[in-house]
Amino acid sequence: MDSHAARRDLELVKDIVQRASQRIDAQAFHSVHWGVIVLIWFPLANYWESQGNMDAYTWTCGLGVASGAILSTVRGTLANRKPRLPGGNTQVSNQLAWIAFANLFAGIALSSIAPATGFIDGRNVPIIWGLVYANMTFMMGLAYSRDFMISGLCIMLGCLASILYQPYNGYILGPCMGLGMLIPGLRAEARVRRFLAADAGQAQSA
Amino acid sequence: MLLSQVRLGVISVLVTRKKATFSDLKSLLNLTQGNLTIHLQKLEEGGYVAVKKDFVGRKPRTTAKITAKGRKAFLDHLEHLQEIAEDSEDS
Repeated sequence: MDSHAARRDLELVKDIVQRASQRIDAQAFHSVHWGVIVLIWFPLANYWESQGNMDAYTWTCGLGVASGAILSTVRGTLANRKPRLPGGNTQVSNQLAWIAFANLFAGIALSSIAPATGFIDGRNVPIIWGLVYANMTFMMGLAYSRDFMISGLCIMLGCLASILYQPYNGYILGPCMGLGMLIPGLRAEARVRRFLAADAGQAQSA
Repeated sequence: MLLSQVRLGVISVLVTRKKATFSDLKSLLNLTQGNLTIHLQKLEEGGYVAVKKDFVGRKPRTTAKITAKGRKAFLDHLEHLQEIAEDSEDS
């Protein structure tokens, strides 16, 4: 092997290692739209509750869950139809999917069982969801990007504040959870776009 | 074994990620299915990677994992490449 070929191979390895070590996930949009929904839903629900308008409270919660579930299903299906992300990492995507599933399952179970058994007051259910989001984003941070880890800590602090100021838990948790999902989600989406642009640039130059 | 750029690419991904699915390797290295299959088979025969096949639901999934032999061969090969590149710079 001559020195030219050796240098070419070294460049190839460097390039591939760089591409392979990037952690990108094509499904980051879930945290963006759930972030936006929670940012509106929790403070609004808190407002209706403080006004004693429980019909509006129930509608707000129902619409929040339904719109999030519909958006996740539709956008998830559309994303699965798109061509595969060139730097996609199935391992990371699977880890993120399991983290989300495990935490959401725990959240649904706890927020149904805890008030039904009288373990907590129904008004404290948002705090359960705050803790679930804090745990979920922190774990996502461990598996994916540090942004989510920082969000997890911020949401946790929001949960502690909402325990101290329980009547305002929606006003506190809405921005904490909403922005805590929205900001790292947008940054993750930007990372995907940058990666795709760089990949397109490489393909053109090749 | 690692003189082929495709095999060197596959091993580079596996050294970085420890393991990768067939689809991830294919898209990362921009290879065709047939090309990747042949090179992965050669790496498996040489004991450089361990290939596992299973099903996710109804879809078959192939996962390749680097072996200790593969990792050592990669590091030795890198060292060798660096020596050649440095030698030419010195002269």
